[in-house]
Amino acid sequence: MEILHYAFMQRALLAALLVGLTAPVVGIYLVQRRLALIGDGMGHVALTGVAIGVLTGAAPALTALACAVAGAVAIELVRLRGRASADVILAVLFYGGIAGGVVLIGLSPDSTPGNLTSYLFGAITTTSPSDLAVFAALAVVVLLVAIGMAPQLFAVSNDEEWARASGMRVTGLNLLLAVLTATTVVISMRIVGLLLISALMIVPNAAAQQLAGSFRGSMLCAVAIGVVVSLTGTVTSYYADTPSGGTIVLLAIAVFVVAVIGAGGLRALHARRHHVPAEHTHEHGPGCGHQTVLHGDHLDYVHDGHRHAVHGAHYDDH
Amino acid sequence: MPVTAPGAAPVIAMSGVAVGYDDRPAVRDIDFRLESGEVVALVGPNGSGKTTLVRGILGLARVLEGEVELFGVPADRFAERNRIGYVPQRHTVGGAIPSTVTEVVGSGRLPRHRLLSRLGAADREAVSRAIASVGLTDQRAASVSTLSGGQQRRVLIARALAADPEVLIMDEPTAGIDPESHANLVRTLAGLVRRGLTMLVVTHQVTPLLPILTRVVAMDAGRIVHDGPAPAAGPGGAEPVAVPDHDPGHDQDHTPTPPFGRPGDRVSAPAPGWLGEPGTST
Repeated sequence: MEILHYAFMQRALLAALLVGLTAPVVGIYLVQRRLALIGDGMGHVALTGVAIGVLTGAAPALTALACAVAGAVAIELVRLRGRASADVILAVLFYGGIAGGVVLIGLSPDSTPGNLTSYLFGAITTTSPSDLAVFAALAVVVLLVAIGMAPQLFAVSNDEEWARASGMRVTGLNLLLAVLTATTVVISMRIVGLLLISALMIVPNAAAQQLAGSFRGSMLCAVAIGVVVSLTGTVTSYYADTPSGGTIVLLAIAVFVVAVIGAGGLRALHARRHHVPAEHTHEHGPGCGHQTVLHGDHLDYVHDGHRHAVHGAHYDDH
Repeated sequence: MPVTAPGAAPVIAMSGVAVGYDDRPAVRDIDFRLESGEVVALVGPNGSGKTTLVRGILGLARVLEGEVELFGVPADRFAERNRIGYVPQRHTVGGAIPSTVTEVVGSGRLPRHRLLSRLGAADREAVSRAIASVGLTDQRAASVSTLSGGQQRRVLIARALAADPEVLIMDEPTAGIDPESHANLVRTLAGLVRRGLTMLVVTHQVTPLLPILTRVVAMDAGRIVHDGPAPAAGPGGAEPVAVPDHDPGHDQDHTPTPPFGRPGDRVSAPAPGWLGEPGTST
């Protein structure tokens, strides 16, 4: 492939692969907790970090990381207090982040409208070798932590109150997830852009939610979607001369729409062939009063002239 | 019937306890003990403080006054959380992403582990046992969001059982589910009682639980207003307990609440409607 001859495209594709792997893995916990927009806010805060880097000549990836992590901890602490004014405080933090970023970049003698746009919406030509090294190191850490601590992060995301009552370190795990989210924002900032980062954490998971029946299956499915749309979007961006972030996110949304329509069709087909709970309120089980018949490796229950076999949460006719 | 060994600490001991939010007590003057082997129903109208009391025991709400001890250890220093299984009041299980019965129940093993340790074969076996004990083995790979309300409640019980606790604390496990699921749930609980589990059950509906209850504690306006043995079960039961359950929609019989005496006084009024009927909860 011609595009692989260019060093900038090699770096862009590697960065896209890192984004495609990490963003859905972290995003799944945000979707589970119904905090889909928190990554968006961290992207806003990270822009101030980028601007500090541009203004001072420091590596923007590192200054963005410092700002995003500080913002993540602040956001989590505000959320923990659980006060009615928390959403207003978060909004002020988010707007302050993006306003600070725009003003500081404007003060930099090197700034152009073009480089601000590339930070906000992603650009394939901007990933430097040092950026790629930082992103790769961060991605390894994020994946090791997010997958290694998956049971704990799942438990807290699934039921925070139960986890707290059961003696789990809920505050620590929440802070950890916030820092993982901030780090993923930084990994994604070159290719997807700070205003669209959250989309790649959320949309692949929203599509996977339609297709998978388990948390593990959803995570694998979301990562597959994330990697495919990131790489395809980066290549499309090269040929179509479009901003990479917008292209990747539009592709992800297309996958989501197809998943919703496909899953809806499958559900309708399934409902025709199976008893759904709304039609079958009786719960078969030992002592339920229906005659049982051994059928291969399971029991069928004789019910109104049919033999009902448990299949997941419904009954099939056998 | 309590089976705490002589000299052994009670499972829960509260004395002079007030629990509340933002320094405002929602329950007060609580003296309560739960001995090993007891199955106690905590009843009362909405807003009487049942859930707040349970949250105080579990460290989810602030204890403003008095002492709470769990297995003889002050609650704020009690570290063996796996000895307590908690079934929160939930009508559905899980978040936005699909999760299977096994995945949700698997979380229940985490209180037995240090932060970074992985779940192993023994954990998977315990999870299978917990799922089997609530009769959901056939649904173990099903997404919890596709299960009925009663089955989802049993998933929560299995999650609490997965850590092999000594006591189950359940908040409204039977609310909002149909009568048939209700009967299945009570059968599940009866099986757990036969295995010697101690239970504290917050409920609006005492009658279906009577076969397993040893004691009934009633709350009203943030105080305990009745604490006595459970009446015998069966048609026409023995002596009904006056449960101040006058929340519309939770009873079929809205007989006026009998007057209650001082906190701790035994109150009785033979009105069968107070016991609540299965399947009438909202």
